[in-house]
Amino acid sequence: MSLNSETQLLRQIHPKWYQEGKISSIAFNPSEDHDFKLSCYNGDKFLPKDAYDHFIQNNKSIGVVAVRVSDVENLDIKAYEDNISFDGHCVIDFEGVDSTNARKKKASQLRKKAEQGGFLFENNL
Amino acid sequence: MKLTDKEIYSPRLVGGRFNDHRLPLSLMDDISVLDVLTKDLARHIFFEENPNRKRLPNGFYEGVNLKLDSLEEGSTILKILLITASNLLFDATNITYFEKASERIENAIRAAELGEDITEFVPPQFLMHFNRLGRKLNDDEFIEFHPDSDVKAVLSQSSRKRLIQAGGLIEYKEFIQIRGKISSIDKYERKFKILDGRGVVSHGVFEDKDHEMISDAFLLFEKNAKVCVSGLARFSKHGKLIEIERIESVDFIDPLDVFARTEELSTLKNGWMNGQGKKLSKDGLSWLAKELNSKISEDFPLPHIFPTTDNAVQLEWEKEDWSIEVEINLESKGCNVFAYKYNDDNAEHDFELNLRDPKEWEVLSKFIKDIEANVIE
Repeated sequence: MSLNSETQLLRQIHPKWYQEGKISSIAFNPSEDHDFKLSCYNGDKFLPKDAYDHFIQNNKSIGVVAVRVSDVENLDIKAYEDNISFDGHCVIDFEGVDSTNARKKKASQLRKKAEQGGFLFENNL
Repeated sequence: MKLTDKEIYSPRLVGGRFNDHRLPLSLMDDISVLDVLTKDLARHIFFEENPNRKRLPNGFYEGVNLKLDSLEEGSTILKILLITASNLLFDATNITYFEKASERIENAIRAAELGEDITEFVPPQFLMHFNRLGRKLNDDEFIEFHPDSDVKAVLSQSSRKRLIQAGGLIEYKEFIQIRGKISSIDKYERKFKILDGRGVVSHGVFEDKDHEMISDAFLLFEKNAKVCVSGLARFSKHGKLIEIERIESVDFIDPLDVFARTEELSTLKNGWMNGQGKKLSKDGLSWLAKELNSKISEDFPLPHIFPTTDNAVQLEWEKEDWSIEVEINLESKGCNVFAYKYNDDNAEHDFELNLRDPKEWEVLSKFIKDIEANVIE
C-alpha cells in the first residue's frame, strides 16, 4: 500500500526536544548520519499509540505528532514508505536540499505543521 | 579615655555581586564572625604563651572591638579596625594577642587553599566558625585576605569546606538555591521535598510564611510549575545535602527559566538521543545560563533551549511571523543565527557570531529586538 497525499506520517518526539508546549525544529531536521532522512510511521498502518508503543521498546519518546504527505511535498521534498526495519516504516527524504539553512527552514516548517495538529498521542507520565 | 585603632583585616570581596563595589547586606552576618573568631583565638593564644596562667588578665576584652571602618574605593575592600580603649584595666600589650590571632586566621585560610595543615595555625575547636564565615558566598565569589600581598589567603567555598572538615565537623552549612518542583509536602511536620532538573530530590523544612507558596507549588506539580528555593542548607562532610533547614525565600520561576533548563540538560549522557548525541559541556551550560540570565529583558525574551546531538544547544524564539534559531557551540561559543518569516520566502537572515565577545551578544539582542519591533524585513 503506497502513501497518498493525505497519509499522516507519524513522528516520535524525543523528550528533550519538547519544552513547555514547543517542539524543537531539531526533531524534524535529519542528520547526515541518517543520510538526511527522517524516520516516520505510516499513519495508515499504525495508530499513534501503537506507533509509540512500538518505538519505545528501544527508544525514548514523549509522544507522537504528524505531518501529511502533502505537507512534505509542498516543501519540495519527498516522503515514501521503505519498510526498512519494519512494515510501515517511512522516511521524509531531504535529498537534494543542499544547504544547512535550507534544511533548517524546511524542518522548522514541518515542525510548525506538526505542532498545529498537536500530539496525537502523548505520554503524560 | 583614649581610643586607638589599627587595621586588622582588609578582605577584598571578589565576584559577580561585588563588581559594583558595594557590600550586600546579607553578607554582614558572615563577616561579623571575624569578631568572635578573633577574640576566641586571642584568648587561646594568651594561654598558649602563658601556660602557667589559669585565667585571663582583668580587662582582656575590655574596650576591644572590631569595627568596619569603610569600604575602600576602587573595589569591595572592607577596612576592619581593631579599636582599643585605653583605660585602667586594659594592658596595651594584650593587643598583640588579637593581632596574632588575625595573622593565624589568615594563615589557616591560606593553608586550606594550598591543601596544607590548617590546625598548625588554628586549633580544630575554633574552625566551626567557618560554618558561618563565607557561607553566603556564591560559587563564583571569594574573599581575598591580604589583597595587596603576594601571598594572598583566599576564602572560597572549597577552602571553607576544608577548614570546616579540619575542625572535625561532620556537617557544614551553606546558602543554596534549588530550582525545581515541589514533589511532596507534610503539613504536620512542616517538611517538603523538591525535585530538581537533575532528578535529585532534596528535603527541607518550611515556616508559616512559606506555607502557602510551598502548598501552591505542590498542587501545580503536574503542571510542571517550578520554584526557586533559597535558604540555608546542611551538608554532610562529603558534600551531600541533608536538609534545607531555613528558607529565606521561595518564588515561582518562569517555565523557561534558563538555570532550571540548563541544569536539566547537564544530565544528558553520551548516546542520550536513542544511542546518538554527545553529552553537553557542563561548563558551557553554566556559561550560557549566566550570559542569558544577564541579558533577559522585555527586548530579549526567554528562549526555548534544546540540545543538538553535537555539544551544542539551539535557542528558539517565535516572534510574530518569524522563527529565530540560534545554534551555539558550547565549546567554541560560536553561534549561527538563522531566522525566516513563515509567509515570505524572501525574508531570511543568516549570520555567525562569536558569543565570547560581549559586543556580539549585543548584536544578537538588537536583532531579536528589531524583529519584534518589525524593523527587519
